[in-house]
Amino acid sequence: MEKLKLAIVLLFISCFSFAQNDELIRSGLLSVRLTYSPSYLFENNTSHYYLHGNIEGYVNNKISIAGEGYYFLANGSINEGELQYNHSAFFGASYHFTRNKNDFYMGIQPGLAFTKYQQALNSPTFTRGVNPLFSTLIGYNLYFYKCFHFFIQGRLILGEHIYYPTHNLNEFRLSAGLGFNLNTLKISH
Amino acid sequence: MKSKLIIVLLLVIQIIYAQNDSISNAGWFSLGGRSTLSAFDADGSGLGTGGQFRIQLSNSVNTDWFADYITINVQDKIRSEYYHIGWSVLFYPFKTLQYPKIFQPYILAGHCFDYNKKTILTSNTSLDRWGSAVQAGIGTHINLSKRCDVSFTCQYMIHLTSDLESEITNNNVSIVKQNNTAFEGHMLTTLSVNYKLFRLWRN
Repeated sequence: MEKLKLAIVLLFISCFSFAQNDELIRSGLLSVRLTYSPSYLFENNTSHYYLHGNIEGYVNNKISIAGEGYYFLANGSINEGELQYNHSAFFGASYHFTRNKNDFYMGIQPGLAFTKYQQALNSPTFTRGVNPLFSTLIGYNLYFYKCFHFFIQGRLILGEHIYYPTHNLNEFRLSAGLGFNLNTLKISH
Repeated sequence: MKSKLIIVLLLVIQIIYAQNDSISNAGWFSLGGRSTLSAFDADGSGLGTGGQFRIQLSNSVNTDWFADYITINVQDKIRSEYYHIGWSVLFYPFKTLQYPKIFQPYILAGHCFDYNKKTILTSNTSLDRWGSAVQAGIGTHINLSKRCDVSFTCQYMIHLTSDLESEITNNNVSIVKQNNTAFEGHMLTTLSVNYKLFRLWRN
């Protein structure tokens, strides 16, 4: 009798948790992420490191709209004549393929880069600029709990610092970590 | 007999009106971001970022109000910057191709205010001009949901003003303001993401 009660309780808990997960990715889901993001620049085979933050709102379980920002932290290269900073901001939408807790997505986000390029190490000559960017992204979220999720995102960026000297900004950025999420709307039946 | 006919006619009119009302898309206000590739410009090709909002006037007519910032690298010597603020009217010629159909093609034409600034990179000297332009082209919405779409547009923009010309010969770099209106322009290919936020009015 005790075993039967325990089995019923376990079954109830598992059903309840499944129902929660099943309806987590829906209209009104708000996700916030902050992480460390390394990158690879195609032009000179160097890396940059960014603080990457984003906020994403789900219109439904297939569409989300996001605003993202990258704060330049460091340049992985010690070569002379490098970008001193390359902050960027993006805005766009993603299309999601969701199943239970799993959320694969791809998206497009136009953006702007705020750059400073120094011609040589310790040189007083540098140029600052604002440059248009285009980016495509692909990623995966695992919504394992009602307020937490794991995420991984890859982003391809196209752009150019058109100031003297010009510098290609084409780059691949990778972000991963723990995100926070909140359902801001009640389930509509 | 006549009264029955009138009642039936009234019912039919009411049903038709109700149908039109239920499927009307007039009044939708949508907001979006966009990336633009500028090509076939005398200076070369460039990339732009911008945004737009749309106000839909009827099922077959939409309006697009946009702002773009486009930069072009002219042979690593000159930076050409375009600021576009304008509007276009979108016409959907196929009544059968609307949501829930994925592809919703349209033709569009419009007008914009156009500011161009060209800067010689080494000396940082620049020239600028204000102007006006007209644009026309074709495109399609890719309807991802009832409210969200990705739009792909290809249009040609003609500047109705005297253009700034980049002259690069060997080591000599200069920017020259043309005296005549040359009707030069560029092909703008735009990829945008849009979301219908709310309805300004209902029919």
